[in-house]
Amino acid sequence: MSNLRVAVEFSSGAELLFDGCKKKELLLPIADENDVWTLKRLIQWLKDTMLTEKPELFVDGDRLRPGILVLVNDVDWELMGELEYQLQSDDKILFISTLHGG
Amino acid sequence: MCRHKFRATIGKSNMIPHKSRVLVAYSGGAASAALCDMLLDSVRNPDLHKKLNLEPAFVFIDESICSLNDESSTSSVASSEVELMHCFGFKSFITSLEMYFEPTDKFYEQVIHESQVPLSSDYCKQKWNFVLNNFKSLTSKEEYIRRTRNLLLLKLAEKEKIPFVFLGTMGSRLAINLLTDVLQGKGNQLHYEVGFCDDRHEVKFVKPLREFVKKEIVFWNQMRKVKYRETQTLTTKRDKNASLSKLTEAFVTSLERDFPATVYTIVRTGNKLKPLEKAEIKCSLCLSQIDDESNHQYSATKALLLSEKLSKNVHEEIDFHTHKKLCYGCRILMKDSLNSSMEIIPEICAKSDS
Repeated sequence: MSNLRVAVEFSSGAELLFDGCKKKELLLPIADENDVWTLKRLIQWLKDTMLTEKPELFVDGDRLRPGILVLVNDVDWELMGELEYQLQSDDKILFISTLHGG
Repeated sequence: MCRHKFRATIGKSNMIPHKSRVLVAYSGGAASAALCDMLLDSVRNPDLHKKLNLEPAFVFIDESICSLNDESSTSSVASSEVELMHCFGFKSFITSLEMYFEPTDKFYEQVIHESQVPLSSDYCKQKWNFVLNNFKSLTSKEEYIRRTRNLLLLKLAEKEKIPFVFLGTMGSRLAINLLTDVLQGKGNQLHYEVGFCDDRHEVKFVKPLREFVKKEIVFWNQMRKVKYRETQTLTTKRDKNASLSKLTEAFVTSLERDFPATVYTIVRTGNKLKPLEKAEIKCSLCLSQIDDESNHQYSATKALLLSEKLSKNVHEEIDFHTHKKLCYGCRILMKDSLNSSMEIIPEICAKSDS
């Protein structure tokens, strides 16, 4: 079993949902070669393990709450396939809240 | 592209003469940080054709009194903004929201050194908390804050004799404000709230970012490495039903996900609204004109008043008289105050008259 290393960052209010955490390096467990981490899975994982506030402030069903932007290595996630994007080693995922007051 | 859009918005209006002095309202948030960056970028542009010939000044209004945080953390937050403003190299001022109640002229300060703290006084703080706590709903609190912030900016600009105030309100925000305003009975003021220029008063309030959506602003900040910080507000971390504007925001952003042109559509519709014919009476809280109802025998406002009177079975006409100097929207706002509105209003009236 190996790990996938990615960095997640939260800004403009999104960090408030994660106990003020702005930046964190994650080691995501990979079971075997066919085991992939999509953004969808990462969001679910973040919701289950790191989220400290109410889940509906971060997710909306199995999608992300509208108004939160995601940047994968500084590129808009809409260009990368959104929820289906497969995380690569050393990716940087940035969550930015665009909602008023965070 | 963003630069072009920004300059085009200012240029198209043909409203701002060369070398005008402008006061930029800087809150430290994403939009106003981007506004400052774009403005400074255009003003300092070495290419003469593209240079924006304006003389900016900046103002920071500390709103820490509204956030639920304890005081220790907020003072450090304000200092980072003051430091940034100091680095801009232009004239800048600081004040705090509660200084709206300051009776003398000393309600703001010019920034001289980078670790200056915003002015405040216990008297004003007390007063502010008293008035704010009297509002029952978060919606009214938010609205009240919005209006006092505008009045404070207006007062400051008048005092400094600066003819224009630049606000960081962007398209996404405007769309939300527009719908919220309609819901709160401010329909006749939409033209000013949404338009490029708000000329209800001598000092003109201009919104150079009105063609931008929030995403563009965020990406601009990200690429230019602009520092900003989202200020915590009353509704931070609250449910989407906490206030009307929060609910509208959730509505617009969720629509935007499936129909990306939502914000533009709302703002464009707002553009088509025409201002009312000039009336003499002005609302003392939001400074917009009040419909002159004496000429209309049957107006919408009168109909509302009548049906309220009938359904509540009240005989006296209290509301209409005590709220005479307020517009319909502000009247609704004041009705939400626990305190009998008579106590608050003379104070506000006095403020706006002076």
